[in-house]
Amino acid sequence: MSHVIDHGHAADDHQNHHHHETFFNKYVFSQDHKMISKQFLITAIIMGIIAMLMSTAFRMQLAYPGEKFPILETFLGKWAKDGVLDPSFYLALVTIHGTIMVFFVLTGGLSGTFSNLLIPLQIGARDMASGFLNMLSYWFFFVSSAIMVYSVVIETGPASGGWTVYPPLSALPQAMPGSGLGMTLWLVSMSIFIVSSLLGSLNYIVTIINLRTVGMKMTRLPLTIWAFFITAILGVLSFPVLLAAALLLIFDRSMGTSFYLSDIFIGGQALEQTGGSPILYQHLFWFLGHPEVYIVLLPALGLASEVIATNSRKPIFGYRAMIASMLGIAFLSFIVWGHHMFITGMNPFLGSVFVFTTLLVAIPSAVKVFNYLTTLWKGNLVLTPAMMFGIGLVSFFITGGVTGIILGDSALDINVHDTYFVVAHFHIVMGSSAIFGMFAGIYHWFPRMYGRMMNKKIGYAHFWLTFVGAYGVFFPQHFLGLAGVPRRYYANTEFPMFDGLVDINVLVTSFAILAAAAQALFLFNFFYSIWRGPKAPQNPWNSNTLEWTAPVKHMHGNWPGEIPHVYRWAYDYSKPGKEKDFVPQNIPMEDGELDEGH
Amino acid sequence: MDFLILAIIILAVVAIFQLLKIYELSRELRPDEAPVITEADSRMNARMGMIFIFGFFAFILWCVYKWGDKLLPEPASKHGVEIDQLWDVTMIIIGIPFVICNFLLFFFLNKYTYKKDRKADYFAHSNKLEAIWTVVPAIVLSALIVYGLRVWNDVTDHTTISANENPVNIELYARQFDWTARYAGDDNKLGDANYQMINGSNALGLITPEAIADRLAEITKDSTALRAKLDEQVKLEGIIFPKKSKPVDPHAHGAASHDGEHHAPAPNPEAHAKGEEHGGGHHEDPYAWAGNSKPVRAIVDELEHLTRMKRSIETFAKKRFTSSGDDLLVKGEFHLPVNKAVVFQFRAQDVIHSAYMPHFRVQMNAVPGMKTNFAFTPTITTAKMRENTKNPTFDYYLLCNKICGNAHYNMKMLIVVEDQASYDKWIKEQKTFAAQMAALLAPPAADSTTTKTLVPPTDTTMAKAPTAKPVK
Ligand code: HEM
Ligand SMILES: [Cu+2]
Ligand SMILES: [Cu+2]
Repeated sequence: MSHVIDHGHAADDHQNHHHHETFFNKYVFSQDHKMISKQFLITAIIMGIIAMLMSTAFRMQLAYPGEKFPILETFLGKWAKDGVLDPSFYLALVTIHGTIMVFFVLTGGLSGTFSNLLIPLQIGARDMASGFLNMLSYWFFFVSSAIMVYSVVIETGPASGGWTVYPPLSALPQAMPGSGLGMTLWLVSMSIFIVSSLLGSLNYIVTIINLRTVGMKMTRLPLTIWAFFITAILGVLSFPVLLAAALLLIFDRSMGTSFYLSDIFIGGQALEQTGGSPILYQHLFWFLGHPEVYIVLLPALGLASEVIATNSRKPIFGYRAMIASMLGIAFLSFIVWGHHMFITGMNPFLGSVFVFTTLLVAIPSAVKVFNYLTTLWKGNLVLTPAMMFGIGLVSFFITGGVTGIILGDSALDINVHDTYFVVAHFHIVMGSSAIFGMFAGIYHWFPRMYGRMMNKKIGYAHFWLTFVGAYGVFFPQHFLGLAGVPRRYYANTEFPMFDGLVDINVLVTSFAILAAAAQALFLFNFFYSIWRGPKAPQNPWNSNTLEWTAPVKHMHGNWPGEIPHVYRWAYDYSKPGKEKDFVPQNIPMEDGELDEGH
Repeated sequence: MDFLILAIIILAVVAIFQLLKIYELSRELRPDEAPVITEADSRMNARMGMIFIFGFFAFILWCVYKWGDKLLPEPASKHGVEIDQLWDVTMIIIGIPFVICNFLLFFFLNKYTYKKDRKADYFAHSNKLEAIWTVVPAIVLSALIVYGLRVWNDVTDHTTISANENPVNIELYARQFDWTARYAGDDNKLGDANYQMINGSNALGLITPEAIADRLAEITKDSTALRAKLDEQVKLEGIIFPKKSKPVDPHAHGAASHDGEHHAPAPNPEAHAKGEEHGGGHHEDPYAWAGNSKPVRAIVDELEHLTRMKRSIETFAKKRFTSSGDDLLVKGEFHLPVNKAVVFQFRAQDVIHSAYMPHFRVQMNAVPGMKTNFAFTPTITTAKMRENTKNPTFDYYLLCNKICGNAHYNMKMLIVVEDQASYDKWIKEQKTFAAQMAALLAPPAADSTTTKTLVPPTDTTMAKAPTAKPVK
């Protein structure tokens, strides 16, 4: 391990500087990874609340189309005259809800929080490779979040062409109000977001490769780190393509180019642009878009792996197979994007290729599920709130994963493409899974972040209400899809064929309100515990990883003395011949002991 | 239904009460007492897990019972049957692991719940097990891929239909926010179209000699009006330009591109003063006289655009084209003969739309600048489907299924599938594009002062469309 750099001496520097910390560079322009992680988390929570409230607003419209909810007018003003949501603002809400959830909560928020918190602490580093870039990454994220939120309140409304913002709809201000200034702000916000994401990802990659402590071989990394590592690589390879797509869209919108536009007549005018192709945009978008779902999901799976192994008091089953399947999923995720485009008129043979690659993804995914189940098997399962959220994630991953096999099969996709079946699928497999992974992470590492414990009873109540709520919201949507109800519809009232389905929408909305209300439990628990929770013990979950050897009290450089060395993999739980049911990574091997991590 | 909602609300209220109780309890917790997860905590959650999983399966069955008959009925097309078979097979293949894995997850939770004095099994990996659950899914998926691709090929291969079955040719044309169906008419060929042809009387931009004439006349009229506006604006802003260089003249310009006579007017001194350099490789700005006046520039640009469009229309007017005059245009609803193959072509005017006909298991995007296709054979008439579903008001619909703007949710067409005789009767009642256009353009009886004159076509490859003289 010649690459491992010992930063032992750096600790002293850090401590000497301690008393120089001002409020500003401790809490605002902090370069400390733990503080930056908290900044990401708080921002993501706020964004999550906004996106969730949006979903309740448009769910009300779907369940009770045209009915008056004066409260909407109070909040939305002209977008909800007399309390009835305006169709254009319905689409705006759906678009911003999706954008915020996918990018701001589950990409920036999830990776930003846990990669930042755990990478240095779990690999045994003083901080990120570049604290400055790390700080920039957060502030770019903050600025892009602010712009995205601001776009909601402008006169013409925010972007409303769906989170995928397909041109020509998104390219032509004449096409809908949201394609004007709102769309410009969306593009600006996303461009800044991409910069933030790239800065973060590069930092994660460099840190993991270079700053591991003595003995922390790649094959001894906890699965969390592997997940963050692979995620960061995915991000670095795919986000630039989205940036390119966005730039070309900006050119088309404001400089009269025709990358995506051809033969269009709109607003009484034949446009001059010819020769472009709207389909080109879709290729570029989904070249990011598909890896993006794994950028969202892999960190959640990594967190769940760690939480599940720790609380099963048992090694994660098939450590190497777990890494291999993540690598397999990551690789395949770059060659399946066409499954979003089966019915764009793409050559059917090309469609066949994407069917093939897409269905292959099911193999590593299945391996992961079976390995989780085997990890539980004959374990000694401590059902902490974090563990429950981890279990919830596995359940969603199963339920949402199997419908992926339908959507990936082009012949079947013909009929359910762009219907509520898809909405159900991705909310379960990506939305709910990743959110549950994030909750698992928060409950598990809260003591590490704030030095205090969250209340477990509220945690359990939060879990069960959210779990039941999420299934209640998203499972029945499969049936809407099977009845042929398209997504992004303001109301289903215009088609007699949907008349019998009002019930489903009412049920779904009721569960959505329940699930949303349950988040109040979480918010209370989270903020109350930051200040008033009981003090956390050093290693509350009896975990093996290095972060629990660092002092609870906030300090730069993570460890006061030398960084602990690592002698074993992270999963020596219930190892035969050991007195305790866990052996932290920094405990040297006894004579003749075998290391599973090698 | 209402009962269920009530139950949910009650559940929520109970939860909130519990929250309050928990809150009280949490205040009593001593700050320094290490709050561990007890055996009782784990047991409680394991039990909840068991209740949940059975509740979940029951919920699924309840959904099926309650809404099973509200889903799409049997496929009403030939290929739809194939798709539904593949669907059923896939559902079984995914249903089994779905049930087993979800069940095992919660079963293990219950079976291996934490006990203080039990030790977990140190079981870190097993090559045999891992090989099994890599290979078995691989085999199952390979089978599914092969089956799926065979169906996909059958469904998307239109060559046999087009070659052997003398299909009905129909275009579905999408724009914000309605559909038009265009039937191929007498020649059973869809005529040509171009988006630059679109105007008030030709929403699809179809090409016929009359349409060309109409469109050219319109362009001329528009540019005359624009030139008047330009003159006014120029006067208003007091812009002076060299005598020779009349602003833009689309007609002159079009002809002038060859003779080189119409080169840019001498740039005016003012523009020079503002630093507009005309260095070596730079093109001279033909409208330098307009200076920085935005309104003038806008009008000039628009005039140029009209010129280019005119030239483009004249170009394809000269080529051999298939006239769309005999094509039938229908809105609101369209009819299909049962058991006869239909080849659809899809086009869009403004943004992407998607033609979704769920009862036939058909969906295809309509993309501006592109033609897409789908072919299928409807097999069940509307009347028969009404019987089969015991729903006397059942109807087939065409929906738009790609977000296309505010009224996306209301962009539809009714589809009627009927026997050949009824279809023939219906199709006879539909009007051709030529007839519809003539009706639109015909001067109202009382007022015959209109300047538009249409010269009847002599042949589908008119060399030049006559245009009305522009008013000076
Ligand atoms: C609070 C619970 C949530 C509810 C009730 C909810 C509900 C909905 C609904 C009804 C739609 C509109 C579907 C359509 O018309 O196309 C939607 C769209 C969407 N949601 Fe959620 N959602 C929730 C959470 C999430 C989460 C956690 C994610 C993260 C992945 C997410 C991502 C999306 C995306 C990407 C869209 C598509 C937006 C678009 O069509 O452009 N949602 N959501
Ligand atoms: Cu994908
Ligand atoms: Cu549409």
